Amino acid sequence: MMSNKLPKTIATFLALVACTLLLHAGGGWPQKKGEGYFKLYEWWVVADQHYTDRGLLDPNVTTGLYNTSIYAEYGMTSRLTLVGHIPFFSRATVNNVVSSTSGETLVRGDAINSVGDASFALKYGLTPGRRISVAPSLTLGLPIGISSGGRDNNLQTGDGEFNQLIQVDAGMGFLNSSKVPMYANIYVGFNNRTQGYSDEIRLGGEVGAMFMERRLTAVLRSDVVQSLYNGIASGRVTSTSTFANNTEYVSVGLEINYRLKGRWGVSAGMAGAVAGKVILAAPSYQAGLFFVLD
Amino acid sequence: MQKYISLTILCCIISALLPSCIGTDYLDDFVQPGVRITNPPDTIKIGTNYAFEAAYYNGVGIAETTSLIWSSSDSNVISINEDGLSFAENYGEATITVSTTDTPPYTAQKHVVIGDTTVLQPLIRTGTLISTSSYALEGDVILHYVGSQLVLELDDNYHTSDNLPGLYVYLTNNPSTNAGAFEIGPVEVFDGSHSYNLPESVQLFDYSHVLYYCAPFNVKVGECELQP
Repeated sequence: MMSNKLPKTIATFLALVACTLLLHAGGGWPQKKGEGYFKLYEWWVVADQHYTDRGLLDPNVTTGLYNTSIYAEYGMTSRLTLVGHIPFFSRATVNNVVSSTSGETLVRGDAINSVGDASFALKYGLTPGRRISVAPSLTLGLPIGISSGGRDNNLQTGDGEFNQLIQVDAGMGFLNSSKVPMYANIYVGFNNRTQGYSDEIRLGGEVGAMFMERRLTAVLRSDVVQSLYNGIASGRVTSTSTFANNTEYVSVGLEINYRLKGRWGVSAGMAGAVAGKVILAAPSYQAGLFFVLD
Repeated sequence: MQKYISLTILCCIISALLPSCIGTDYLDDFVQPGVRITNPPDTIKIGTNYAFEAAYYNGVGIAETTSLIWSSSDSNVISINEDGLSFAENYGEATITVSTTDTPPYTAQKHVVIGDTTVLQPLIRTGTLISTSSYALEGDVILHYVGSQLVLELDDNYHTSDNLPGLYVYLTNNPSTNAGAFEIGPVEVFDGSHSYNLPESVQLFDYSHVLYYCAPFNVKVGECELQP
């Protein structure tokens, strides 16, 4: 058992999943033609425990993942929006493990730096101008990160697989009883994964409320990922690549966006899995600057 | 707006670099030091020599060279010198003790019978795998010789999780870590009986535990204490 002097440990192979917790945005509303939303932000997670395949918490060596990313939405037409997410700098770390008895380093820590897995999506507005805005989208996940790096091949800035996510969002705006502008959005998606990963069903929703003459937006978000268990269990993979499969989770996240003067704004948020399997049990954080092209 | 961009880039760099340094986790890997007779006999043939061997394991389960003191409870039955070389003097029973020079000393004992033939302790050790994590691990273990081949056998009731990448099986004297352990190999069977042939460099009484450990991510899954 690890001592209480420092937290125990975590595993990078779990971390990538958590990257998705804060990424989706836009909901059922495509951008208008020529308009867009661009965000430069830092996202990170550091964890010393994880949910096991039984959904219970176990310790692991402390691992961190840090992504500096650009997220962008741009209206190609009044209905078609191009969405891109590029973690142009991704750093994965794993701590040293030192014997509290002898003081000797048992396992040296390690780190890798690279680009992370990027994704691009096309979103199409089905019901422009309607009370409920519905928008299907197709997202392609590009495995340009490192799926098995570091001295022990246990560090990842990507999952090494090309995935295709088909998703439908539906959202609506409304005023609550206090006349506060609000919106709600729900989505359902199917994530087709390759390289032995199990496909996934994704569900989620968010509620946002706008304050201070709509300059401040608070968003409460929840996401659910359910594995279809049609891939290869991680332990049965014979290659040198190490990855976790059949990840599932229920996450909850909070995000605050504040529109500064003009088109600029700042954003900060956190999210974490409140239940899960084979995923980090630690909150992830993000902070950045966004630009609204309108 | 240049200042916003500069500020954000600066924040990103700071937030990426400062907390992303490689930190240190401390592992409580203490095990009780001890000495172990590694070739215990049950019976020694009268009028013959038998060379006892023992090893001392420190507080992290690593074998260390140290001074050992050998003694016999009845030197009329069996005598033993400072190197562990014994001589079966007469029929009877006695206890051989090996001790370190520490205060208090670490000791190990073996009750032996002087008889007509030399019989080594049954060349078999057994145990039961138990999970020390939330990952499944169970089953009975037998470590024994098949001819001259030392074999680790997992019984029909063996089962472990196949959801951990890089799960390895080890022999160790410190079940808290795979550091200093003998790596048998990656786990490729997750249910049912199977076995591992061990090299000549590994002896039956060299290790106290079988360890299941996710090596790439330092997650201990479970262990089995070998008896005797």
